[in-house]
Amino acid sequence: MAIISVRGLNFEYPPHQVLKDINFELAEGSVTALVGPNGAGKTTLLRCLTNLENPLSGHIEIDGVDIHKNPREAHRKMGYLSDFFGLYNDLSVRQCLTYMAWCQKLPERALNERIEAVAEDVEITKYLDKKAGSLSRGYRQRLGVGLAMIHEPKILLLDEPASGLDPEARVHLSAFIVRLQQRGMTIMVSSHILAELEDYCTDMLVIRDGEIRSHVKLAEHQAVEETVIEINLTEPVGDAYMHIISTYQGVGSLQKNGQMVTCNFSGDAAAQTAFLKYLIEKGLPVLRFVPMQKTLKSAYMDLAHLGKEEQSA
Amino acid sequence: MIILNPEFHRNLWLKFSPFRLAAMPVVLIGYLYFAGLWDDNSGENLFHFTMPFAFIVLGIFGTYEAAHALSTEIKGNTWDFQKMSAIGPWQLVFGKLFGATSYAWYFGLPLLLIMALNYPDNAFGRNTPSVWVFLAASILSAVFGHASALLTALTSIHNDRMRVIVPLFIGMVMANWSFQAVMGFDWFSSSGKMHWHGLEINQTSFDLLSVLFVLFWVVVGLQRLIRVELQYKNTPLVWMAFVFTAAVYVAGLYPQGMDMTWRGLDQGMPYLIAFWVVVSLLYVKMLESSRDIMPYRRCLAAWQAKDWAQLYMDIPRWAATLFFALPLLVLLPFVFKGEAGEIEFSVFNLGLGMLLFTLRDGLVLHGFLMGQKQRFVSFKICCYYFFVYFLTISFTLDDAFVSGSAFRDKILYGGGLSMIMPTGVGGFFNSCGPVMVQCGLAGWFLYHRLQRFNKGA
Repeated sequence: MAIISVRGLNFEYPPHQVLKDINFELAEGSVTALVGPNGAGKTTLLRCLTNLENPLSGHIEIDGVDIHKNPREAHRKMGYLSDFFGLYNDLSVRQCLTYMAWCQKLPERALNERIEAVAEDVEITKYLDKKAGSLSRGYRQRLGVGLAMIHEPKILLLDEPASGLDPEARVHLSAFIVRLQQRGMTIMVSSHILAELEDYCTDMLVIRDGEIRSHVKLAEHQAVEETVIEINLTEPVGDAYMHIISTYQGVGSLQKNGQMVTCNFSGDAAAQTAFLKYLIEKGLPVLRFVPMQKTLKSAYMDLAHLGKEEQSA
Repeated sequence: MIILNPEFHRNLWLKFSPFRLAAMPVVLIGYLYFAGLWDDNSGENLFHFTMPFAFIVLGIFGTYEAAHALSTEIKGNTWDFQKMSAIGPWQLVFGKLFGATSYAWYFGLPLLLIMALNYPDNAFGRNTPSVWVFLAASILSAVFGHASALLTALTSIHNDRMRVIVPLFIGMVMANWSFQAVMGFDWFSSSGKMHWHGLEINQTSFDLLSVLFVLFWVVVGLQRLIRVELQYKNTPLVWMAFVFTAAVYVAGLYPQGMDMTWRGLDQGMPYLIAFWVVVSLLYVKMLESSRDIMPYRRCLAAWQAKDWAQLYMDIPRWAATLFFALPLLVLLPFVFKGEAGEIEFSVFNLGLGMLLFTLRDGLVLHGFLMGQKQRFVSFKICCYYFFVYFLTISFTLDDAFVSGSAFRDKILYGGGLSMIMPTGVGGFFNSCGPVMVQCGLAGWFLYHRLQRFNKGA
């Protein structure tokens, strides 16, 4: 069952239409990457999902609750961290969490337990008595996530959570999101950095010019038979070698670059083994033969490529 | 309610550092020591020394803190967290109103106590009210100033430049007005009695109740705006209740010692005044809604979807105000018992003229301002008013006083005056015709602006 359902969503900053007839559904427990170029409408879409922006028309359901009709009820089921999230710098981490727990009307007797649990989750326990303003960017971001999830929401929306984080903090964020996913939380993350989404995303929503261009389920995408294969030779790739490779059945488009050839190949693992055997039999000095798994980046680039073809047509 | 309020508690954490806690008694003791050097032990000097100090602390610093309460949330990007939380609107209103100003109260209340203990019999001249009235007026005025500042800050929440300075100014003016209103500045009568809808009321009590009345609506206004921010749905009922009570309150002040010029009209005058109040509020709401096309589009979408509940929620407040304006307009000719005089006058035409002029300005300003960026809005409004209400009036009245009958022949009956303001004189077409033509032109102008707007021009 879809935990987030969006139908016919339109949003305008008059006279510009920022979101155009957006439709999608996200399954419970999924981690969705919302990707697209700057100005595509990612932040606006996330803010519409939280009802912080009021769309012109459309229907959004959060775990069965119409967010336009019952925004307060829907908010109980979701946490949101904006890209420019703020903290009360003069309060301690514990005070920030306590304040948010009070605002979320958590029962007083379970308050301390919950604060400790969240602090442990986002790994800021040892900073509980430090001022929020004295924390590094990475720890401020952890506190922000902690504030967004103090009421144990089922859905977490994160707008560019990794921007400005150092590599160590990014690794921590990835691990944290994986942990949340394992607990069954549904997460939507917007980001420019596709490589970091690779570790935890199950879905990808591609948004461009205010339209959802594609909703890719990565498991399905990776199961598609066509694979990209990188072949490294010990000498430069000449025309004769290119002819041998290109005439093999199942080889699609190919590119050469010095001693390396990259080609699209249709076929399962057995077919790939047969292809490698064929190359060796034909006398190619193969150093490496690497079937590449379809990545989020390749999926996005395929779609971007498709988009350009559509535009030029 | 306040102590168990998370917003109030958060403000206490922020405002009361150990240093600030200790600073108040130290400054106060220092102040009392120095004030004592000039005091002749009568207490009167201490009262007068302390008054400006208390005004600075409660009237200026407190108002600044209230005006600043929202701006810090928006600048600090913490507003979204609050909006997404389960905190209630009343909690936020009281938390911000008394939490943000808590340090000013911590400092100001002891100062008020010092003043109350040294309150001279003639502190405010001949009609000095009792010390309890003084205390009530001071506290009410301070709360009123803080609430007004917070309300103004909320209304200009999306305007960076107006978030602190304008609310601070308005809050200070309001605090000052309410204090002066109660503390013996006789606005209407010097007899110490007020007349309101025929009731005779002690002036001080009336002033205090009036301040309470306005304060009540300011706090309700705050709550309604916070509700919008917290994504609750607001029905137009509260706005309509405000319009109704404001009209009843202001109409009740008539005649208040005025010398009646048109004696025959006095029975209908409260209704005309009530109508004028309603039309003024209609005007304000029209001006307020002239920039944003989205509520209108949402109304249209609700209408097309036959979602009547949504339409009821989203209906522009100026349109809801018509619920009072139109019945009052129809009622006016029946309650006015005007005598047939030298001038042909119709109160219905006057009222209709007021409504039509409001409609004209509303249409023109919607055409000018729809979807405009904030920085152009004030300038365009000023230009419009300068043109319509200064230049045009100057040109129209230019030859009005050439001869004794010129004003009457050319301006009053010639349609000149009714081009620029509602008159109710000279029959329907003379008094309402010119403004109807203007409304038509303004409507045409708005239509073409919308056409261009929809094309993305």
